[in-house]
Amino acid sequence: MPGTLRAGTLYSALDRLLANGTVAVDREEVVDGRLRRYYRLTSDGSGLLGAEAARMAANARAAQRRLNLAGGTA
Amino acid sequence: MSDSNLERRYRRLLAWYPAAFRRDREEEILAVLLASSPDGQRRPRLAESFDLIRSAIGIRARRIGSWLAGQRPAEGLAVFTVTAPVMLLLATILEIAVPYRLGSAAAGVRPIVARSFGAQPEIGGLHLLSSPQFVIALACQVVIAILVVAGQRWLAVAAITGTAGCWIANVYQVPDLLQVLSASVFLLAGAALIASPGPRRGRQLLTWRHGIVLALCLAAIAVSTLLYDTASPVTRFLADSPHGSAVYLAVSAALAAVAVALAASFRLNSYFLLFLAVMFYPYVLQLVPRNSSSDNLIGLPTPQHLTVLFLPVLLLALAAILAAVLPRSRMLPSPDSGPPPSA
Repeated sequence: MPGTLRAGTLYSALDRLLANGTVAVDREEVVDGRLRRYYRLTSDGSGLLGAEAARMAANARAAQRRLNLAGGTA
Repeated sequence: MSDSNLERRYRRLLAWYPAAFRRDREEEILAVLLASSPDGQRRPRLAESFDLIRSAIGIRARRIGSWLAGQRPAEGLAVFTVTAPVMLLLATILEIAVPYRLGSAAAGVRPIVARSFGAQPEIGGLHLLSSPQFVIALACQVVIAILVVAGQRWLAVAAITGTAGCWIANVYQVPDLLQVLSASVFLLAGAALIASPGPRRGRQLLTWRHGIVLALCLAAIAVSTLLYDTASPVTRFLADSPHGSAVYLAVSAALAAVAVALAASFRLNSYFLLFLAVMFYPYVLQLVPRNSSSDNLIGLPTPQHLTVLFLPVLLLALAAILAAVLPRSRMLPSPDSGPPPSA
């Protein structure tokens, strides 16, 4: 299925994010006899995500401006 | 219910992950996999299996990468600068302390030995000291060992260069197995002296763990030189064939294997171990033709033989020197190398 995040890909990314301290384990619980773990963004992670979102927003604004100048539809 | 079958199959796939990762996350990933599998699914889907295996290999590679990045090449090389020359000297002293004799039949098939030391039946032992070439070699080894232990980096480089000069001028001679070892020790120790913070730092980093591994290596060297000893009771016991020396080879290999296992469990610096392994490569290679009817490689010093013996050693020595000369950021990563120079 396109767009599905598979478990292997997810846990590879989580392993990397945990290693660089951008996410941390928030809490654990057992549901139907199975372990469930919740993660949260750390303050470093929030900072990085904020910076990345600002960078992408700036790129989007620049693209929008160019489209307007070229007479394209917004 | 097929759930337990599916679970077992998922667990089999999760076995691809490193053990430490599995201890921490296996149950959690399994819960995600089972929760996201549709009712009635009996086995993992192909794409899912591929994704898990790819992820497991990636995580393993990342663990190895971060372990290597955590190692300090400069420190590994610094330890090598002290240990290698001292180990070579001890190996030579053992050669004097543990004499071995050639059987009369063996003398004929060891021309290099006869050429170096005449037709003496005893090769090791105090007899060695009667050869002026050997005494010069021993003196060179003593001087280099003293200089590295005293932390005299550049004087040690000068002494190694002088020793190479003696060798080229052909006034330097030790039994051929040690000759091969001397060549790789001096090449790599010279390069490590130039490329690392030097033996003074190496001395600070030296621990009893290095001592144990090196003592085992030394014992392996001492036992392997007894391959010469065709007159020994062990060889005679195993009938009058040169295959008797295979016993010494097996004991020597076993000692080396224990040294490798201990080095791994002690987690010694991987760059130190790399240098040690390459240092021993020509020596080990030399042991192979020793048991065959052909002469050993150094007895046939053709360019091809010398290339096979010493090219890896030479390449590693050059790489170490280049790593020291070129900007650190472009070569071996070193956490203690500081920020890369700005453009």
